[in-house]
Amino acid sequence: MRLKIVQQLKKDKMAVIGVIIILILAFLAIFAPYLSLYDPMEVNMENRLLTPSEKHPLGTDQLGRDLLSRIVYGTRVSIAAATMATLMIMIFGVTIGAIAGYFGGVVDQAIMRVVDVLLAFPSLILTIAIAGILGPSLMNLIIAMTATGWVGYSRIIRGSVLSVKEKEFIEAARAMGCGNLYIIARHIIPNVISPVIVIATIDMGHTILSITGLSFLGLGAQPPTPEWGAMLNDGKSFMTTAPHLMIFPGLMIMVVVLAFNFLGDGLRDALDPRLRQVMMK
Amino acid sequence: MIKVENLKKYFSTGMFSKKYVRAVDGLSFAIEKGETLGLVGESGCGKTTVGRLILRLIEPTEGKIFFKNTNILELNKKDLRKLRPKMQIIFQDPDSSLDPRMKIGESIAEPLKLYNIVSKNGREEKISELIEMVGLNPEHINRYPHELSGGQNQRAVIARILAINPKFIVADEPTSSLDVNVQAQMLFLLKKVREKFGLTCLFISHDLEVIKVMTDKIAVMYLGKLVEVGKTSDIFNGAVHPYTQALLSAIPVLDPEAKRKRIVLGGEIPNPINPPSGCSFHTRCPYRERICEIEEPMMIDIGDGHQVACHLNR
Repeated sequence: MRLKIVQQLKKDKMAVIGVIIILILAFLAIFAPYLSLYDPMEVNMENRLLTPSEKHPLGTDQLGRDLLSRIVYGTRVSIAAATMATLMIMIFGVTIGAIAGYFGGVVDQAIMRVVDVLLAFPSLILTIAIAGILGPSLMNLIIAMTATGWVGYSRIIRGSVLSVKEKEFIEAARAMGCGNLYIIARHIIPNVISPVIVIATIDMGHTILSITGLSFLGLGAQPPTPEWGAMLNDGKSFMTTAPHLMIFPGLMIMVVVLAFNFLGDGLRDALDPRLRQVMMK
Repeated sequence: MIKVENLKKYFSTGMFSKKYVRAVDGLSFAIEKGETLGLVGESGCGKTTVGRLILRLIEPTEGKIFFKNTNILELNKKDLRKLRPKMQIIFQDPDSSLDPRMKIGESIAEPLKLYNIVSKNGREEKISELIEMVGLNPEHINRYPHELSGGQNQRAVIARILAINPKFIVADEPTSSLDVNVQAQMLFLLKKVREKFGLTCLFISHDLEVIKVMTDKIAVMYLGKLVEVGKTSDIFNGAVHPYTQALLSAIPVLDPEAKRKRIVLGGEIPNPINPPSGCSFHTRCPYRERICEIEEPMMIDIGDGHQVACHLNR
């Protein structure tokens, strides 16, 4: 099945473009220290608000920091934060969904009612509220996003677990004397995880957008961290005099989100129709 | 070795008015050490439920199940898990009995790891030994279940079970989803390992010819109840209960000249939510009398362990 997805993806030009952009960004993030000309934190008040030039290809910001270096480092922050948020959402969502599906009964009812409530609530507002209570920092933002983001994954996983747990190999494992947690970890999750990984990729663009958006509002990364959303926020006071402060980080956000959306669309098309329906919401 | 007393399992259905499906309704039988009991009956009579109840994979509504004098229904979780490896089950569908994400070798290694039966170094050797015993090739160790045939998967299931040296095995129609020629090989293999490991078996099947070659004793089940129990030879040579007689008459005979009286049962198996009054077989019984509709017949021993529940044999 995995091979088929890869073959399908190769046929999809947009998905290939998305993959290439993501690979370039990953390269930027990993080798940021070698690719940037200046220290992204280095303040140089003599060179503040310079327009793009040979020395500073993308200009400098209001504190004279090199914008290109800050954007390159920003790749690191944004992608790391988005990956971490996605991973945490996945871990929580999958674990809780698997427990609900496997044990059923009261446990299932209790968890699914919580899920229903969270799904009925505008998640962005809840995220902002939680992040606000915890205090503004990138880590707290990730925690807040995890607290609201796991529900969708739990629903999908629960459904798959309900069908897998009736299979005979699960009964055979119980007859062997395996404990419930062992069965969930060793037999259930490996059999239900692949659609979730795909969905997580598709959600990645959305996650990056949320992180930069909330950072723009001042809830996520704090200055002087070179994070795209926070850079947008920094630049907004100079929008008329030095528009490049907003244009370049804004372009980066757009490109990354587009790349992940291209890949996500490609993946969705390459998948079986059953999953396509699940994700139509 | 295995003794079952008054085993009952009712499944509740219906959202507003509770109704119960009497899947297993008061079963009692015993299996001696090294013996194979065949459980026979139509589809839907509760055979599979009995197999799962005995291993306590599902909880019975009522009754006692003894394994070597311990009532396994009284065991707590911890003690039950200790006992689990002694009792194993072979399922009907071999393709879904193995984790599709695990290679055959990993599936066989799992019980070895779980119970630390052989040291880490000896594991591979033990796996190849098991693989060979069940008639698979060493190359199958690194294959996934979907790459093997049903018969090969069933062999892998048997290897996996034998890895933990069980004493008692429930075989739930282990051959019915296989091709006929593979069925014969599988039965041969089961016979071989049964002798080699001195296993006690509960062999569940609707195929009387398979039952005839595989079992020492037969228990015939109808609508959640036993109607006749006895030695395999006694039952094949002289079935007493009309239902058993009808089942036996349905076995195809090779000789077209042979005269045989085919007893064809009318109607369907009744709904276990509303089992018939009296003898549950009376709605289809060719010999029914008034008493059959009113009074439920008791199990009566008619000699040499041959028991039957029918009013006509008093």
